[in-house]
Amino acid sequence: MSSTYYFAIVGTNDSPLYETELGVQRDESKYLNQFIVHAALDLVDDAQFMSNACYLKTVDKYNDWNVSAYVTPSNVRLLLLHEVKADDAIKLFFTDCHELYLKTLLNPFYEPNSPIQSQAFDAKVNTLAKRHLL
Amino acid sequence: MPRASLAQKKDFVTKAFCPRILALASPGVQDACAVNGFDTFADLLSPFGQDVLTQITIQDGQGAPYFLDKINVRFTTDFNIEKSPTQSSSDVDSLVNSCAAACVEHADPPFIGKDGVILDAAMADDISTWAPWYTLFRQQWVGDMQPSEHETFMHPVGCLLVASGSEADPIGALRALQTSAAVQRVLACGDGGTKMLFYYMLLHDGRDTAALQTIDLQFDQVRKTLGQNSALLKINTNTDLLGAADAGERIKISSIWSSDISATRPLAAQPEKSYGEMLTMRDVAALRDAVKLMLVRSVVPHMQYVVRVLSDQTASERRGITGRLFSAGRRYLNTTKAENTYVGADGEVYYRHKSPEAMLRKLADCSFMLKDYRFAQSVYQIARRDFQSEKAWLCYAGAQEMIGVCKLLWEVQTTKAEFDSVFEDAVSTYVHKTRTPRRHFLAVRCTVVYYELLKHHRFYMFAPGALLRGPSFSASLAALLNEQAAYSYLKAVPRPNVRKFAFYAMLASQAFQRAHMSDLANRCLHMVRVSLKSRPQEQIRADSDDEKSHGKATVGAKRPTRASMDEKAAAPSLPTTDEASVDKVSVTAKTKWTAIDSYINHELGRQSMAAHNFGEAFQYFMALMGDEKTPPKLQSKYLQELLQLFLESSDQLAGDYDGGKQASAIELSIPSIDPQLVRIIMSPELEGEDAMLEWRPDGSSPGKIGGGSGPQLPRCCSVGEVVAVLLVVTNPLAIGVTLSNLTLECAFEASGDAAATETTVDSALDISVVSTVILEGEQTTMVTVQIVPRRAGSVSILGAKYLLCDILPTFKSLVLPGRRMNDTKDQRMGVVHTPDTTLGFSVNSDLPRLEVTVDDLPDTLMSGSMHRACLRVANSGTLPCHSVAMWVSHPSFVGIRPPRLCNDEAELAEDTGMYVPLSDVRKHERVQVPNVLRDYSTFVLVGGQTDTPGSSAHCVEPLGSLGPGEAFTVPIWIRGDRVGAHTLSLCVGASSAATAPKDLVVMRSRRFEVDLLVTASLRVNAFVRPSARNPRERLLGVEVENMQPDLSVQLVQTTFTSGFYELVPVSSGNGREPHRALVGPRQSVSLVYRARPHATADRPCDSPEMFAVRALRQFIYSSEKPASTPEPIGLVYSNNVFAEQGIDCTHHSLQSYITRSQAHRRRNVLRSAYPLIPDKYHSAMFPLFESFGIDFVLFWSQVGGAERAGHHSISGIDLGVPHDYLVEGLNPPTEGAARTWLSDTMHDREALIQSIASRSESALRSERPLDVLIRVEAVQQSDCSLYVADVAISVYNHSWRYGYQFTLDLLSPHELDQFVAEGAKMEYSGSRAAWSWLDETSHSSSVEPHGLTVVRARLSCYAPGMIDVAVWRLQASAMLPAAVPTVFSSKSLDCVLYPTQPHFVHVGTV
Repeated sequence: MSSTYYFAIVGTNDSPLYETELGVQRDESKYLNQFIVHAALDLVDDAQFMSNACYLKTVDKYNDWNVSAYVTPSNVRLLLLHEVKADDAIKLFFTDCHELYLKTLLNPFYEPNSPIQSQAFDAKVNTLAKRHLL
Repeated sequence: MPRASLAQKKDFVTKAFCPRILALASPGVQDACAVNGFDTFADLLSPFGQDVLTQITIQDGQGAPYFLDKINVRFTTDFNIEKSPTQSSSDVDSLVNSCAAACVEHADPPFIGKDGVILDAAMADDISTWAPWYTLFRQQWVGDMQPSEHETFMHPVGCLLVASGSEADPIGALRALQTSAAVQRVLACGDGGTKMLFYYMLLHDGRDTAALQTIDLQFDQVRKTLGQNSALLKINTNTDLLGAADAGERIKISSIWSSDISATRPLAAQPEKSYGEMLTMRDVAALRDAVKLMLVRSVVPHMQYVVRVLSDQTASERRGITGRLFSAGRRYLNTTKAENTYVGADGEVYYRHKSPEAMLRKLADCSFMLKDYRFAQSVYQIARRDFQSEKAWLCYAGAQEMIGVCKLLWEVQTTKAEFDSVFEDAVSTYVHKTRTPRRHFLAVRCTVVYYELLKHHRFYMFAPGALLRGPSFSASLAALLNEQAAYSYLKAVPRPNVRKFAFYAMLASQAFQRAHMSDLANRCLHMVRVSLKSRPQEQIRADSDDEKSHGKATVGAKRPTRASMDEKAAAPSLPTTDEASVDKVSVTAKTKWTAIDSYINHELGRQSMAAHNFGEAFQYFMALMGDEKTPPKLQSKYLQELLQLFLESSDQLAGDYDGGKQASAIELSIPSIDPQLVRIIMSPELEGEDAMLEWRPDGSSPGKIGGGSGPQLPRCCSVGEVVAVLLVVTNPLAIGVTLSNLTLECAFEASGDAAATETTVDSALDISVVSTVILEGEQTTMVTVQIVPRRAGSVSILGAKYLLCDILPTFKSLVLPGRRMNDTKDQRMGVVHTPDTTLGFSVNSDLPRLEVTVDDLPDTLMSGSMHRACLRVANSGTLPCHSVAMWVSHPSFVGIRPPRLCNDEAELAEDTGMYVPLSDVRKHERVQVPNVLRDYSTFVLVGGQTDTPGSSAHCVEPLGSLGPGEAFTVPIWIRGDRVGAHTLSLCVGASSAATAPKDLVVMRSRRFEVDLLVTASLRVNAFVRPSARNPRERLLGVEVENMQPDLSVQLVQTTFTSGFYELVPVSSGNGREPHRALVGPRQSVSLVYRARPHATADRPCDSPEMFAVRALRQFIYSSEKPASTPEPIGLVYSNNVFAEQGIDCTHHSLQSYITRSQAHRRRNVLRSAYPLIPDKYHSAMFPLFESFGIDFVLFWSQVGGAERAGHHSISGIDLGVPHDYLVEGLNPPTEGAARTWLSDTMHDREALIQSIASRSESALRSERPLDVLIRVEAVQQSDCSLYVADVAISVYNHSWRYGYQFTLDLLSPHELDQFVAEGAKMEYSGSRAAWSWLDETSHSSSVEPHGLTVVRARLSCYAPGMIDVAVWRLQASAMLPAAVPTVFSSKSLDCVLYPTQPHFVHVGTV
């Protein structure tokens, strides 16, 4: 499928810890992706108190784009910008990514809330995306 | 909420949908208006239609009474339903533009602070003040409403006909007006069920004093003729134009109309005229009263009447179940469609005026205008169903819109689902289903109205959705709506959505940009930039909590939140020098969302560029260039725009930054040059590393000054010397860039006398310019810039400057903060760095300029072979040099010849080989050589003194000085000493001191390194055997194995050196035996030598050993450290020459070479054997040569060519004599021992004693201090045919130190089994029954050091022949000199010896 996904992990201080584009790459809309996801954080802040679940489903929309969110217990936000609605697949993707993030946190050399620059993490996220989304 | 109060607040909507009254005036009236500056009579009345206080109770559509507080009404002069102007996008754009232009001030809204959005201000402020152009726009937009078929708001509810009293026939005039075209058009749109309201007004013009008398009469006539809907109005009473009329009053009167115009038609040009010249305040009051009277008496009752009539006619029968059935039946039967509807010119389905649906709509509109919203809503809802079923989409959308408006006006507690969906449906129907040209206008009107109502109710959470649903056919309109949406997010409850605000402000800025409204676009972007700095409220709260807890940290330690920790981590403390630059870039966006930052910086940069604000634009673009994640396309675009920006701004910049400093204006992040990687290389044309190094006299490797931790002296060069600065240039971008004219910016400070005179950088330094550096994407390259100093002083490198892409002059600072200071309180509390000195060097005029080269360094050598390299040092400066030294890392690999000045080329050529050939080599020669063990790795080449203890000047003859222009060469012989890969380093240093320093200290040094691989050629092994011929001798065998597969080696000479022994070859002859001296590939040769005490060694030669013993004792027990040096030793050279010509081993060059090898070996041996003795004491405690060790050197040359020659050596061959004499040194001296020790020193010494004592015991087992030789002296044959032999048994003591008492047991061969049973190892191969000892078999005696004792014995055998007599046991115990205490030595010096090899004697016939 030739759809585009933009996935971002946002730390507790609103700075992105990790971001990647999955699927078809679109250079022009990079800033727009970030803007949409950044703006959706406002709605995530509201939505997380409406539900007990980590997965908040689609929290925001802009034109054809949907933003799905997942909030970890430590208030790290996992956000996915997508066109196609596939709640179950996205939920699985988020859950697996959360596990990946937890494993990163276990690394004693990783400072929490600092950007994740591990290539292994990147590769694993891509694998998860291929499995669940693409 | 009371209805009245609601009505007061909904001004905008109620004014927009207020009743219209068609005001027509006769020509006489026009004249009365014209004198006051009005075009029409409607204009005159216009201000008085606003907020008319009616305060009457009226009935709604169902007869229920309600209170109408006030009402608005508008006067129009014409009515034309056909007039439907199309709103194109360009019209909208120009409208928005003019709105924006009307608001001169485009400053930031008050909630935009310096460090983010001020949330309190955002919550408290009125949204309309943030974008006044929107307020103007909505006013203008709604004010532009035109009559339409689908609604009746613009249809006049009545006609006001005005005639002047000055006319001849006012009644006639009024009648004429009643039949005018405009009235006819209104009537045509009537439903016929109700009559048109006509209101007649007779105007008395005060100027016409003549008519004053008759006006009342005329009015009576009018009233009689035309009915009660008549009124008399008197104006223009101010006839005295020049008179006493107050100027203030005039302005006040005029402002009534001008303020009305600015409120209702904000964009209309304000004419420069004053209204109401002829009016007085009494006239104004009369006008207001007249309007109010008309409304209360006629208009409102008429509208009530219309509502009642229409309600009776239509709505009543539609309500309830009956109405629904009727409606449904009609829908299915479809009977009345053709009669009631028609398709307009625009393709829309409209209802005829007399149709029930049209009447319903009119009924609802009337009720709405009378503020009976509940009734109106119910009627709209009924009508909506019909409109929907008939697919009359315009009517349907209009009804939907009005339902929503009614809901918001009436049902305040309504939920979102009710009104929002209605409005959404209305807008989408307008936009998508209707085809009328006005659909956009209507959709926008709907959006605006809805938004106003939401604002009124503070339902800000619905506002963005409502605004963004609005049609976006025009960029400017979209911009306005997006901007409002952004503001709405800021007003959201419970907390402002700042991030959403940023997003929509960004969208607004994009739209403004598209609409070419760069001012507003810039303003929006600026808001985005600032708002992105804001942090969420939770974080601010968390931070403040953290601060509080920090204050109470001593009481209850609370962990800082993760967010706050991260904040701290993310903002590392910058060096103080960088603060200015931080301030400078603060206008740019700097969040961690890089793409957002790039976008904002790019847009702001472009706008700054367009506004010719080049300074800011540069900052934005420079911030852009730093991001590596930007896609290549964008990087290329940004770069091009930056270059374009520079070209455009070059004129201005040239003016700003004049005087050669224009480049320092721009500090770009591309390409990156890491100051930490910059290297300064002195004399770059030579290979090698250059530095100021500290030379220690003990021969250790020249090291960095201060050991690396202290302050480092700057590099130093001489005047005129080339200095290369190596820059590592990295292009972080994915696109290629070109740097041209790359050079360095330096600071120069003259020293000495030159400091007084003015010295500029240009005159003091020649800095080369690299013309072009091409950098591909993400490429790293090295660039070398050369500096040639012309004067003495100090140079520091400030930065690099270059032209980026041939256009942009760029400066790159290379200044680093130095070491962090921690000395004073201020330094500890703040961050203070020392000035950095790593990127600087000093130019010393006293320093001679030397050019040092090393030629012919080998990379592969066979082990033992020699290679000649050459060190050449030339003085290219103007001063003589008095001190040059060389240090080598592997002294045993290197032998050097004395330095020679290069004047005589012939002399140079003369030096052909390492070895000095000698045709007449003496077989034995005793030479006195120094016996001092030290590091021989440093050579003084120039200026060294022979008596300098730390120098090796005894082996080279240093030059006195090296004058300007002179050069010398040093032949260096490199020998493959050990097999394997080695890295030889060679360091040459020169000092600027005028005289040669005694102890080499700080020298300008040049270090060379060469990787050398040594392959195996010959393997030489030595072994020792006792001699069967002479107990004083031992046999030394040397096995030479050729490891090379294709190389034959000719042995040239063997030389043994020892202090005590001389060695002679076992074989007879003169020793020149070519066949034995040739070793073919993979062959081996054994050479056997006899080692015996040298003839001259008649006295025990033990001075080196005793020196060591004394020194060790002094080291262990005395408080004074040993400092003396051993005496020279007389070495015996035993040469055996195989070839025609021998080699002079006593020549000083070879001698020094052998000395260095020996020293290297000795130091390694001592280091491993006595690890507890520090290295620095080795030279004071141990001699270089031991008396009883033997050094062996084998010289060889390659067969078939003299190119390759070399030598192998074995140092310290041990003949197995006791040599572990050091244990004696452990005994405490009788006097001179230190009485007190520090406890640490005590422990050290005890450990040392233990280690040496234990080592002594283990070494003893392999020693054979005594040798036994049995010789037959006489043989007799006895009677019983036995042969009896007298034998002399010689016991020789090899020990130089101890005498031995021994007991020699001669064992009979047949007793051997019994003996062997005891467990001793004795392998006896001879016949056990053939012979036996006679007489006494146990002999006790003693033997002196180096002494020989003979014991006599007898043996008998049955037959003559050879018998093996090696069956004995020697038990010996050492006799120590009387003076030596025996604490450590006596118990361990006993030994039991057995024969090690068969010993045959011949017992022959007599």
